[in-house]
Amino acid sequence: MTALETMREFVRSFPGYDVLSRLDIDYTDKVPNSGGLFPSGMVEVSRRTDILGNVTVTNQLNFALYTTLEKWEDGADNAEWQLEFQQWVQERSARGLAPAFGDDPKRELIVAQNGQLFGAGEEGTALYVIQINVQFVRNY
Amino acid sequence: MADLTFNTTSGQTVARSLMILYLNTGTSSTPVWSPLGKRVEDSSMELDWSDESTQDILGNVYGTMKKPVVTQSFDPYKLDGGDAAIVKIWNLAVKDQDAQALAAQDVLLVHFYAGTSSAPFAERYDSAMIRPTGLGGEGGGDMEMPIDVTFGGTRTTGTASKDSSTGAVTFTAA
Repeated sequence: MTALETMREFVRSFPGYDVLSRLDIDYTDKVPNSGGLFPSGMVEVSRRTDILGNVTVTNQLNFALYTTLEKWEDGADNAEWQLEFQQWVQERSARGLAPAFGDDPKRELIVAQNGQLFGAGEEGTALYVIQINVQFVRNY
Repeated sequence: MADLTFNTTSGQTVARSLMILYLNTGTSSTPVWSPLGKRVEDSSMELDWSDESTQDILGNVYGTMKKPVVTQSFDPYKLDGGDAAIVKIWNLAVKDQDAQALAAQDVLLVHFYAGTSSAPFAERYDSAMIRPTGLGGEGGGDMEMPIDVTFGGTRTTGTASKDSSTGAVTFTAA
């Protein structure tokens, strides 16, 4: 399974995911209750070499999760969804229950943060975005 | 033994990974050479020559040296079940607390950059002292057991060969 597929499955396993009817890649429908996962590249955080010549690389994958939700007069439900998702990701990562992206799962870190309203559509929808970052290790 | 040449490219520096210390995790007669230093990013041999300088009444300075006492520290050294060398040291130090065995370990230092690339220079010490200096680590981090190695016992020089497929190292005395 690719890193993108792994992240997509991880998002789908969120208990509140049933709010969404679909989760596209690099696309977010304007239809209410649709989501889009946007990969935004990988950054090499560090590269270390031991005295035997083994190389350990720490990378960071970046994603953005966009959700189009129905806009209510009181947007508390939508905002709560964003907060709960971020806390759920933190809990899964802290407990070691998040999926592995690299060669050393216990050294991995997944954070979902900065969830916020991105914009409001004229069709009665609100677009939210959450940043998701994954730090993982590769051994060569 | 005639002077050796380096088998690396002239004008280029020598990679650190071309000098590897191995611990015998087999037996004396059938050694299994397991590399020391997995995940250790910086470790150097230190040579103590017991050097002294004296000055005579004419103002001339003379120096004296003895054969070096060679030590090498591996700190931090992270425990790894796939690292046969550190597993053996852990058993001797933590499980058995066998000081005598730790003080008489068979080690092989291979200089892959010296001599020919197929038969690089190597030196075997049959009674090296390996001294673990701690065991632990920070919460959420890795278990570490730093070690100090003092090369000792009979020093036998020769050459080593490394199997390209299995990575097994064999020592041949000169």
